Amino acid sequence: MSEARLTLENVTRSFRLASGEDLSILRGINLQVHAGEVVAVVGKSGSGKSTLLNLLGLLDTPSSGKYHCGAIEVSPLSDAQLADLRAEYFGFVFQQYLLLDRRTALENVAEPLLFGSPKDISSRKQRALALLEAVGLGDRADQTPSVLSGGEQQRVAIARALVRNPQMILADEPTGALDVETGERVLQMLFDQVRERNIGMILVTHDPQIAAQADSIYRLEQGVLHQEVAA
Amino acid sequence: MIGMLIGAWMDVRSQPFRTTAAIAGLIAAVVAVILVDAAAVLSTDANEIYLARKYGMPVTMSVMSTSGNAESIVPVDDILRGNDFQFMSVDASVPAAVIVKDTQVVMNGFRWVNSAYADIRIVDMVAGAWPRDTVHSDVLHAVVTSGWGSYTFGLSDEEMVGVHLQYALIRDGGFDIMTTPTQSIVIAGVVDASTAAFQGSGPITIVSDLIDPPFAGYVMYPSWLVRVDEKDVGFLVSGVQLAVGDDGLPVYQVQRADQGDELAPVLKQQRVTGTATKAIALTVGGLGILGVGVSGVRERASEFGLRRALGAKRRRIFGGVLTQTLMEAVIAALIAIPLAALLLEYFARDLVLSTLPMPPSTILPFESALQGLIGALGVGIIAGLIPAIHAARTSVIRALRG
Repeated sequence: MSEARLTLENVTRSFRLASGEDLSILRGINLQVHAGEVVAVVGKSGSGKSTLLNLLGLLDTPSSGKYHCGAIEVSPLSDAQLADLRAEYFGFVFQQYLLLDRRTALENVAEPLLFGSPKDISSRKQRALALLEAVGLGDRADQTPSVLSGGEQQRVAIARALVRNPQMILADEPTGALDVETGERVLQMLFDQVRERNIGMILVTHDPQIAAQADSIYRLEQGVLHQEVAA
Repeated sequence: MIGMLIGAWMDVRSQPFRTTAAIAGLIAAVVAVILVDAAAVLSTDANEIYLARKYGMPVTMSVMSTSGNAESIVPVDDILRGNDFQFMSVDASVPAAVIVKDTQVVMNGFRWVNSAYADIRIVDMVAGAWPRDTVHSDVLHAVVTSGWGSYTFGLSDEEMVGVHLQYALIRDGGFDIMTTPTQSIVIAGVVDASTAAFQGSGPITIVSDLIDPPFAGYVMYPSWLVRVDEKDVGFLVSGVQLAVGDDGLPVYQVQRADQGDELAPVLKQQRVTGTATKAIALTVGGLGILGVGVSGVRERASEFGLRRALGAKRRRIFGGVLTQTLMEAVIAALIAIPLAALLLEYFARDLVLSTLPMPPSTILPFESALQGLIGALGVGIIAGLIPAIHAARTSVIRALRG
């Protein structure tokens, strides 16, 4: 198997309550994700899925344990270094799409190219347009999100997640806001893009049918991550 | 940096209402700043023209004795006259006493000026008139400051006009009412003591073109007011300062005394009022842009959170918001400066003091335009800092949750 793109070793995350007690959200998390591997994380609401995804996406830091992105250990990195690594390493797909309302589809896809390094300003539009065409929205490049359907908005979000050639896609309930039929199409497109580009993906969902399409499934229960045995 | 500029420009462009609101307020403020400053500049120019027309020379210089040595007085008089400088007035302190009903009232500090003084300094009369043509009079003329007659003699300001007094010069602090010769002076007028030219001076000012008598060993620290052309200022300064005392140091100090020009206090007041107006205008414009900026940042919290998630650093978010505000400030200045120039062209007559002639050019002064630009950028930076800090501190997780 290829080198692990993400490695979590005994990672915990807890929060200090006003009473002074520690509330433990994640306990002893161990996880490895490789290039081209799709991992589904399932669990009930409040099980810690969002906290895990925030840690993985470098939006939050572990209370203890080790987290490696490839060969880089993230705990000693500064806020600015984390931002750079986030820009280079990850693509995000959110349940609510989170597109910039006042920007066109093309500008939304090109947005991540403004951050991290190197910033290839000159070719950003061409690259963004190529991604929009890859998700079937080349002809909607000049439209703002308000005139796009939910499925189209999520495809724009997927194009945005892919535009920097990330090592890993973090998808949080990517079809949660879509009807079943549209959701299936969008999900299929997401899987196709990820596999075609040999990108790793962590997919948070509570839908067993979606999770079943992943290479491996983990269940998060009371802050502990268990790998589920394939049926 | 280019990325930040592109991002800021896209933000400016994509939020037309917010941007227009922020810019409009700042345009009004910057136009006010430029016009107020330009009015002061044009009025000052016009005053110089006025003074030049009235006196022939635009600059008033004060030549002051630094030693108090009476013997050094004549040479400076020679220097001034010998170099064709227009001698206008002397302003000196004379130790003297005034005698009232056989009782001496000693005042070390009679002021001694000649009649041309009123043409240079602002003199507001409360009663009587400023003495003129004193050379042909056998009695010295004087003015007293308002209220002194009431305090000393129980006479009103009007009643003081025409009063005769006896005064005596004091040499080396010695004075004997029985033996020191006295001379008559008549009070020709009463002046407003709050006028700049009389603030801090003694109650009696003798106005006489006969400058010789008291200069013979009595006068203290005299100064001469001289009107010169701007180009001759340097020559006057260097020429007069060639006169040195026994210690080798210059015995005269030369400096501009234009603040005493007729409209200088009005122009100074105009500048003070203008500075206050500019500060208020920029503050109001700044508060407007600050308010719009802060509310904009609150509205865009999820946008900043998303950008942070996509890899933007805090300083990038900070710089982006600040750049956006600065961009708005630059746009405001670029609109405000030509607008102010246009308004100045049409309303110059209303902006320059009505008692003054129009200056030869009503083109917007460069310094006023520069002040508008600097003001706009300053306000942009200051008013942009708070929203920028607020935006940079946005919690990514909270923002993404909505």
